Amino acid sequence: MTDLLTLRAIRKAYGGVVALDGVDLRIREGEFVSLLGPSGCGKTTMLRLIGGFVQPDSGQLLINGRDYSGVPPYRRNFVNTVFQDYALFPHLTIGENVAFGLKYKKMPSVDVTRTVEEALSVVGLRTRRDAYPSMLSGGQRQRVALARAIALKPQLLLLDEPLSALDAKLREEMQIELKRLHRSLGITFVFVTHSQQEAMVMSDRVVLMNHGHIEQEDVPERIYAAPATLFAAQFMGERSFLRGRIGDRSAGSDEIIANDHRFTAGWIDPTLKSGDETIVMIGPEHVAFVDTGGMRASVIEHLYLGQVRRTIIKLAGGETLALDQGSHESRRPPAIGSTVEVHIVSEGARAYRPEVNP
Amino acid sequence: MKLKYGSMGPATLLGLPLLWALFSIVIPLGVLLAHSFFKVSYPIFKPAFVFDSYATIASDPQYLQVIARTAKISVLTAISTLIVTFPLVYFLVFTVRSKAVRSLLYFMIILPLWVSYLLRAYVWKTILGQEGVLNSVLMYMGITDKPSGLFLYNQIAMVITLTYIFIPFMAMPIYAALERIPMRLIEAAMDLGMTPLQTFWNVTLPLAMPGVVAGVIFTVCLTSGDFVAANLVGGPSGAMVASTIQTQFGASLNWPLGSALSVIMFVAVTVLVAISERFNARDRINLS
Repeated sequence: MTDLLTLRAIRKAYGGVVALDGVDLRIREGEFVSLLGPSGCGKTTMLRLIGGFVQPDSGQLLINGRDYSGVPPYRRNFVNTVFQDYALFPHLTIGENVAFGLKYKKMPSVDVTRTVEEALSVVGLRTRRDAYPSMLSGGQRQRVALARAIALKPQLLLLDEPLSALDAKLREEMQIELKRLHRSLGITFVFVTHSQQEAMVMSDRVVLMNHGHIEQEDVPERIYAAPATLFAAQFMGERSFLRGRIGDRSAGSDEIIANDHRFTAGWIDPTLKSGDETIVMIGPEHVAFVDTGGMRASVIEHLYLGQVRRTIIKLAGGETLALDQGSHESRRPPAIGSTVEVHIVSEGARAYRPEVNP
Repeated sequence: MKLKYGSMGPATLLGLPLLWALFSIVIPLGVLLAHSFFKVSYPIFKPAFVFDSYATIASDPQYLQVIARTAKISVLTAISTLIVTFPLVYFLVFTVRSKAVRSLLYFMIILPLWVSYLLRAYVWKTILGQEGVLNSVLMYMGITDKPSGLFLYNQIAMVITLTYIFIPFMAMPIYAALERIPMRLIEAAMDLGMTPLQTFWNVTLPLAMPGVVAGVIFTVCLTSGDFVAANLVGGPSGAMVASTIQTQFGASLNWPLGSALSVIMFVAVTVLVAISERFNARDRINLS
């Protein structure tokens, strides 16, 4: 597949506050890419830059091979946006909202009517054509915003946290809906979200951002299983972190010492040397109860999560670890307050360089 | 639990404002209405129920003329105030980035409201008069060689003066309407391919309409009852219905005729307000 969009060394600052600090990114035609990160990481600025609402201070924004930096939104016909708060025109009906962009493409009115019908059927709102936005629910407004954007048949659809205002159940439905739409329309989607779950469920590729730069970009499976940095590991959630020290690497061993316990890590940051301090990421599926010879800990909480039963334990040093067991496993989890011993299953642990965050 | 109103029972709560409205609005208007049906019997008038005064107004072109002139001046003033104010307020809301600067400029537009109305009208007398600022400037620049009396004592002078006076009344509702338009809607319009000008006509202006209508109604209503500007800068060709009414209650001692003119103006303004209310209710827009 060819590149639809290329960002080269894009920089953007708002009065001294750097929003994007030399970002490079390529998006291929037909991809579903999520820009993921905490608030203030630059993901929304990136989206607004592609849409043309802000212009870069420096760098190139190539779309279909042409530099579009400095081109206003109304001259970027190939891209449309679904805004976070939907941005439906309150003085127009649903049908007029969807037709809004079409009329100024000088499309004959017969075609406008047909295109509006099509776009509204895609989102299942054909019957509400004559209603006003204020008469619709949040989920329906979201669908109208979507219909309005796809009615113009853009090559690229930008979605700015479109699901954040919806309740949990509706959000899950819309996630599936968006995936389906992406497949059936063949439009490239760039989706901004702060929810790692949302990004993983929907995207072909996740671009994880932090402090105006790209921390990691990869397929959801890889970015979850093998976060490249400590920030990525912490942001992707679920996992516990232990402070520790790298063992003797001269023998080619991947040994970690944490809480006076030795175990092998699946991956160690290549810049770390023997005896360096490290922070180790440990997934709940990589901790197991043992009878002897493990780390001593006390049980502080049980969480039933459906598929698994999670036990939170507190180590002697005060750090906590999560441990998962299949919920149909016959062995009953130890009682809260009891003392247990646990072992780290080797491949699961990843040792990172402690970050000195500004 | 039962709510206890005590001495402030619902009747009292509702009754006090009603009583207030009765004494300060309904009864005075009733008295006015009653007077409009009184009979004139020179040199004074006596209670009756006759339509003499209304008949006089309908048959004497002098009165119809003054009412028509009042309507004309009011509409012209509203239009010219709108033309002057809208771009200013638009600039304030959409171009001025700093909130502090915007508030300051807005305050400066509203500021004249704290200055006496008479003073503000007089200002234009000194600007437009024969010895006035405008004539001095024109002569200084060599455009004219002697002071012109054409600027003052005509309808244009009135429209200028009234426009100046009613700018704050136009600015306030328009400012409120424009400020409530979310930036997202402007961005959405441009995202859908509209140029800034198309966005203005199709999004900004329709959403600002309630404010524009309110401003126009304010201006028309206030202008139609004005007689100060007419007396100060209007001259003989600028007499407004309010001046005529004043004369009827004063020098002419024809209260019935004055009352009838007042009733006609009151009804006209009320109809106007009712129409605008309906217009705004139809387009009641939820921007939140």
